[in-house]
Amino acid sequence: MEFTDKAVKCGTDKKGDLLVTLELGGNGREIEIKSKVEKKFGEAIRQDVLIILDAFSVNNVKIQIDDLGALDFAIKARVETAVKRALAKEGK
Amino acid sequence: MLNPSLLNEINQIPGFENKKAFAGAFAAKPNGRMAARPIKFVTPGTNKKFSLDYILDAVGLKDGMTISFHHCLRNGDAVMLYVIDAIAKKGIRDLTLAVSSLSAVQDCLLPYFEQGVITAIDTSGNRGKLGAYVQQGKLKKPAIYRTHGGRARAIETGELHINVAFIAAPCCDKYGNINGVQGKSACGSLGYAMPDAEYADFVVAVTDGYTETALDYVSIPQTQVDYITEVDSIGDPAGIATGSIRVSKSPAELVISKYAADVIAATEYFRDGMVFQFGSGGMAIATASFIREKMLQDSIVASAGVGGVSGFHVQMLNEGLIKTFYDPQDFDVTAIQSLGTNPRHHEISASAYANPFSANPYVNMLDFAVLSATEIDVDFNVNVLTDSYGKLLGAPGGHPDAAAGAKLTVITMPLLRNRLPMLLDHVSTIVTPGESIDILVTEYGIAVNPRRQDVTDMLRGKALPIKSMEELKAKADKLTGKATPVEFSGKLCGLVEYRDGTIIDVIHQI
Repeated sequence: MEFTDKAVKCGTDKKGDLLVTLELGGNGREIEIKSKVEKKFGEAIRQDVLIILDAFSVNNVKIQIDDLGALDFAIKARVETAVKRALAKEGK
Repeated sequence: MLNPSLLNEINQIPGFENKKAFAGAFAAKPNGRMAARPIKFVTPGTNKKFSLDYILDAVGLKDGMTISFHHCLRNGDAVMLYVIDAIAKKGIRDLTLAVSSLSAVQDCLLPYFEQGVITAIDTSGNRGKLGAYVQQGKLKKPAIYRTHGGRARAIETGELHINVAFIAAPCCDKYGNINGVQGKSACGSLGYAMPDAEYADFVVAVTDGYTETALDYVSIPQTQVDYITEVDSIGDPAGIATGSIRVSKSPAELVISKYAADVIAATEYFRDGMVFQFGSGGMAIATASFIREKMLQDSIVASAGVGGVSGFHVQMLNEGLIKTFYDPQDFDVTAIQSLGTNPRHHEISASAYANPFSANPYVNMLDFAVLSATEIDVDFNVNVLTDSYGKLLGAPGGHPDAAAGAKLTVITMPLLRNRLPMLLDHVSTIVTPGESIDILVTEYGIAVNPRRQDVTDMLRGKALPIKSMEELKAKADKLTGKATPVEFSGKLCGLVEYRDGTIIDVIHQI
């Protein structure tokens, strides 16, 4: 996934955590998930991302998740922080 | 448990016509006589030492035969590559590779599979490139995964007939006596090579520790060895034995180990004169260290230890906390030295250790065994062979053997590994049946197999975090969230044998 310098990052690349890269704008929601547990939890991760995006009414966004087996609350918290940082950067 | 249509499919495969489905840990009713090897005759002074090339001709190795190796050199082994390369150069093809196990180092054998030199595998485990090769369905017939005791049984009953056994020998005298405790490539106990040496048509020692002087410590006697060939090195000492023991430092693993020790100490099996087995993983060693403290506190001494040996087991042996040790395999330098010097430290064969078809394997002495697991299910079935996606990564080893023999089998494992739950409705591959497992210890609590009401009673009122399997499962599911089920629908490419030779599960192509 390609990002510009408007993108924000959140999280780490440590086991049990995830790295979120997020950029507001574009057309619709582009979500890319890379995870060691993708076969089993790829869909669950996508649902968690959508829940946060819905909560903040973010409809046009590019988001990349590099997951290292994080649990759902960590995923939601990282995505939420990324969204807040991106909104703050836009002055919203 | 095994799907009847799968068994039917297995029975269509040449060589597997008589395979039966697993029917219970002690359901087998074996009869008949053990296999025999050819009569040998050697006049005094006969030379046994030749080049490998000469020996391959002398033993009459031909297409379609079965060759065997042991895995006592673990991830340092150089002998399999050396021998199989020589065989390949002679143009011999279509061999069955019968090994006590395969390590990552054996990835180097892949070209010989691709050339058709080896077309079948009979092992305890294989992983890496060879595991992938099996799961791409490239072998002529499904690979067989056996337990250590099951392999000895197969050899001794004649089910697994070995034409030529090549035995990596850290030390070998000119008469053919072998030991594993001396020489620059010392590996310790040669327990896993002993059934091969006793039952193969021909036995070839491959040594980098040749001596003209008769050995004073003999693991495999000259009466079983037909030929000797000398090489510069049979393996890399760094891969053969680790330098020091690894005690777990992970807080979660230490909690599990502490619970395991507390549970064991609360049962009647923790008593003076007990016999036990601890694996050599970090958590098993940590559990052993907690048990050691309790033994010192209560002035309790174990009459024997059984199974693989590491430096920590040796420490307890030297402290007098374990009176004697029966040892089929050594993992570190301390253990190897102890085997060579301590008269209370005994080398035993894989058959003596775990073969269910004998008058009494040593695993039957066990009061308790502490084992690990990759996955466990709500019926206590254990997987130690494949990962959460069905990919080969481990080996049955002695797991089903020790679990069957021990009066109390304790599984120590984390409830989750990363996000993956390790307690499931169904394990990816059943290796050890739930009926052999008595207690599961995780960082979130302890579950007792409902089959063991007596153990439940022993643990009552002991302030232990006892939970039902269902409660632990619900905890795991809550933490990980809902997983998409993974289907194992690929074609059959491996048979998982229980120790008695019945099929307990299968491996699928991926």
